[in-house]
Amino acid sequence: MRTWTNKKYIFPVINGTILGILALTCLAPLVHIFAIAFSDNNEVVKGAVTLWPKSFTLSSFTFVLERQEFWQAFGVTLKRIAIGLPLNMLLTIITAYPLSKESLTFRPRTFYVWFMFFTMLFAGGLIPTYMLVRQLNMLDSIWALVLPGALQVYNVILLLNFFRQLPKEISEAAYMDGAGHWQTLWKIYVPTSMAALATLILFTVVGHWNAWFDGMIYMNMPEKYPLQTFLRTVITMPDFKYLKADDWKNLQSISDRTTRSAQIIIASVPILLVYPFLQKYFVKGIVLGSVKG
Amino acid sequence: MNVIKKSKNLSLHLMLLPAMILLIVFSYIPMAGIVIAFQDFIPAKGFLGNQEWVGLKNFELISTNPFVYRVLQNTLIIAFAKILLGLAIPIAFAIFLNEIRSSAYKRTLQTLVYLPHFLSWVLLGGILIDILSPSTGIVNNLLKSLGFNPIFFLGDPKWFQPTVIITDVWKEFGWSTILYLAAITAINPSLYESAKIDGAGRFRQMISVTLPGMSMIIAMLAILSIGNILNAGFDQIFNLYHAGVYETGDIIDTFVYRMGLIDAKFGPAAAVGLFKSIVSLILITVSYYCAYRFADYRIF
Amino acid sequence: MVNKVRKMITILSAAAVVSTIAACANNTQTSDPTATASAMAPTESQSPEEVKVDPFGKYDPPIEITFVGSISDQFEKTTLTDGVTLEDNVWTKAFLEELGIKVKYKWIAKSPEEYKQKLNLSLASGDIPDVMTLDTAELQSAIKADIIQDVGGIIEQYGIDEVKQNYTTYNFDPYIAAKNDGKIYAVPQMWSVSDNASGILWIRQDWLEKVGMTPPKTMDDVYAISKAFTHNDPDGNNKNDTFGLAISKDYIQDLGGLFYGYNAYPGSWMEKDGQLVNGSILPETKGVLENLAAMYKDGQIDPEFYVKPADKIAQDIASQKHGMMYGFMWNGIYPLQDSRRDNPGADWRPYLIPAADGSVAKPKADSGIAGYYVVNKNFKHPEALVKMMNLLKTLGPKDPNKYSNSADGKELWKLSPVSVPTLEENLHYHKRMNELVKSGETPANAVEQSVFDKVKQWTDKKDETVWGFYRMLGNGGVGEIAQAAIEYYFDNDLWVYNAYRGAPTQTMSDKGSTLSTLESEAFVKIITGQKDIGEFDKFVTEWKKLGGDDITREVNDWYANAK
Repeated sequence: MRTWTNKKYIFPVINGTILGILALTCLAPLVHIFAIAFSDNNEVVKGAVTLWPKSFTLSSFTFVLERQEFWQAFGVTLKRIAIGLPLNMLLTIITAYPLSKESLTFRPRTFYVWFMFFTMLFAGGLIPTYMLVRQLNMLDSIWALVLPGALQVYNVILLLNFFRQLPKEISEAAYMDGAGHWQTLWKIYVPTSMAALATLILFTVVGHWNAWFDGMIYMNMPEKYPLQTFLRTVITMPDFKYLKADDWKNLQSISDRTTRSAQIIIASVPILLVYPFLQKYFVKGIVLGSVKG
Repeated sequence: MNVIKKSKNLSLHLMLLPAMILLIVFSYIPMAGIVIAFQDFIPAKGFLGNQEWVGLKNFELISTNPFVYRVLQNTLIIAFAKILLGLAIPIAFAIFLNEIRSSAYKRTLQTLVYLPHFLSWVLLGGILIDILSPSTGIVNNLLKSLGFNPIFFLGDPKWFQPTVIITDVWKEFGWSTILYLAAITAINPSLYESAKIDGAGRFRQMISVTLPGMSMIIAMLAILSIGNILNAGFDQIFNLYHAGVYETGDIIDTFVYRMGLIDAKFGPAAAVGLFKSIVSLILITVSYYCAYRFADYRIF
Repeated sequence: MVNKVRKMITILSAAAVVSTIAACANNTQTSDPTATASAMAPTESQSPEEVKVDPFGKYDPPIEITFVGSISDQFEKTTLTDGVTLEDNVWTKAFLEELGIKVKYKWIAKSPEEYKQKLNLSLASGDIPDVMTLDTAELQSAIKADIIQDVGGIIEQYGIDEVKQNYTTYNFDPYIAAKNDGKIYAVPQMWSVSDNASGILWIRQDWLEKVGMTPPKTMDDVYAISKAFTHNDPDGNNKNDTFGLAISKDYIQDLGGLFYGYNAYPGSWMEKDGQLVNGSILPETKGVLENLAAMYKDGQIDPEFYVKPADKIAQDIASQKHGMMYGFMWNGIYPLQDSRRDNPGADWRPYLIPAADGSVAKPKADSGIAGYYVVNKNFKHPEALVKMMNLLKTLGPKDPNKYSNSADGKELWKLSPVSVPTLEENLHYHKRMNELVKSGETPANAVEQSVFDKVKQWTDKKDETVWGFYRMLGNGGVGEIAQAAIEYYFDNDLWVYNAYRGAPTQTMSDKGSTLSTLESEAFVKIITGQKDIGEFDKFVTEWKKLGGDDITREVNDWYANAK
């Protein structure tokens, strides 16, 4: 009994502190980069900057924001979201709905579902996909970033599971009233699935925002690069094995920590501002989509 | 009635039509590309060109390449460690987080630990390269001030593996807690009441009520993660590695990427890729079947 | 460290182009249309009088040539500003106005790795530009795939003398790896053989004096200096914080000179008793590794050298950790210049590399070929490539500030998709500097003047910023000026060439990268003492088994035919 009362006070404090520290490790690196981005390069070189800017300056940000290449890349990313998001969502919704029907009422469901699921397990690989995209004349166009990934099978599965949680009675009632599938989907399923849809919107936006590999492969001209692909050429360490044609001035540019940090900050902020507000939706959406009650 | 039903099903087919076209074009047509695993593929001749068929020669070439085994080993070690820690840490975190009473504090913690999940490996790569740098990074500055020698986390083959494993777990552990927390919330409160009546303390409750309550979801996620045993994380490693750490950091996906796109050895690269796909296919099929049999879990 | 040579080229490229001004004026008439019997046929679209004869013949209407390009972030920030792009700049304007050639790019990569990857995707899909640069392996695959055309003789036919001369400077056939079935499929991009040769031993004179020693004559001297630099506190700070010999993870390259001192040439093919053998598996190489292992054990080598890229070692050199390194003639500019920033007393001097027997070692020369220009099979105007080379060689000198390197740091010469270096130009200027100083003449032209001024800036005013430039090609002899050592190697015919100059053999392209990784890992283990020297014999057995024997056979078949 004595130990129990002890623990009653000690445990929550220790527990809260440890978890708090753990959570702070998720924030600290970003805060450090933030501090560097707003500091004078001389202070950064001295190693004096930790979690708070020293000799506060906006010069790194103005330098980045004045670069045309940065804004071009930013624009490409916005464009891919503007086109990709509605397309992804529409496809996810109209694909998930029929597949949420029971096999008894919609017999070919099993075939469709496996036809779709198989593509998650097996892929032709990069080279054939590249050649196809080239053949379709999509290299260098926004469609190369949007169309090959337009159908996100994972999202469809999440949403179809969510649809199946919805009480059958509603759709049956609508059915009795003579509503067709399209009407049922838009009038009943979609409005009642807002948590799941908000989750998927978040996933899709984050996916498009963070994608870099397709930009690197499919875009011929650097001015068509989306933001993350552009940033990759700026902020990650070059492999010296491949450094051939260029002189060593490049090395000075990678040591330019403050501007690198500024770009990281600018590229993270939009996402970091949005997700906390969607938190209650995506938690619910994920849980209902992946675990069957 | 029959007619109506048919026409109604027709609209279901119509809804699926765009998805099916996209799947055929962007997934099934490229699958034909696996034939290059059996060819002496000369890139410039193109796919439909007159390529020479070589049977299993590419697979033989691969099996005599001494680095394939190292790559396989690295992949298994990194993936296995990520799976194991990727299960254990979120479970522990969820259980302890559940003990926190203040719901505002709890939600703040949750929001914080989700954060790294939303950043791309391009950005995190930039962040990690900066903070882990042996000469200027804040982590090594800390080590130096404590009297340790600086560690070249991303440059020393000895340290590269632990570094990628820990940073990956760090990025994803918060996100992974979502399902566990949901499972904990679903536990019937009366179970805790009766445990308390039986004199169970806090730890006792965690072990005999919370953990069993999560067992289903843990088992399920554990089974499903088996399919990932050959996925050591291309995005992460590609943005962090370099030639100096191939010894411990090179994984199947990066190896295939370099073999194909940098060294233009398309045939052998496709052969390794095919090998990986088949093994993954088998593992995923088996694990999903197990999940279905033992946890009554259907993915769709 | 090979890469850094381009930096030097940049610095000198202002000089590079000017020297041809005089020649170009009467050049248009010199090409002899009957000089070569090449497979080149005039294409229908051209009028007969402009074909073959005119190295500067303008296309009317203009033609378009597609290239592929590579830019860096730095280049973007310094040069691609104010609307300047790779497709719209002083060079593309000149090509269009003077030659009627419109330069277009199929794609542009933003890093060397991306370049490689985009190039392979291009090759994989058969979608190649009209003209591009390939390495020997890619060239081979392009020939096999039948996507590029025979360009034999176009240099001789269309090139002006300054361009042609690049292909006859050295006594080897530059086209050898481009030949297939009696045809020539590429125009090599020539490069000075001495620029990338590890032929210099750089030593800090101030440290030598501090430990009371003299420049080395034999390998034993080198080891003694290395030992003293490690243990005798050459920087006088009472700390044991210096190393004997600077090497990075590209140690085979960095240490070239040390190997050459023993007639060991790892990675190269050498003739021995009429047969070609690979230098990596010979006992000479084993001996050097054994010595390096002893030095490593004694603390003379940075214990982390095998994870440190060259630029990290450069930082260490700048922070006075090293006093001796094998290297290149341009090392004065980078990285040694940096070591004088904090300590102007760091007095690095370039020496000939000593051989074990007390003579001068025979350094390995570079291949002299930086890449291969190939022309798409369907492209109608292969000679346009040569015309561009001609223009590069003549136009640049008229206004280096506009076409080569601007005063404000723009690297304008990179805006052209084609480049034509002047071979061994550093040596040329070094000789001229010696002549000028001796004879008291004035420089013959503007470029010579600018080189001379820079050299004077050091000799007369001790201007720190040109110290490295002076050490590279100023006036003076061996032990003062790096080019003096290069001159010595040329005069005494000491250069050793890789005896295999053919295209990569089948086994080389299948297993070459595996073998080289095998090699570098085995060597690191031996040097760092993780494995004893017995590991070398295991490596040799493994190397032979994993394809080395096959490659040796293929290489000797080639050699038998080439002789």
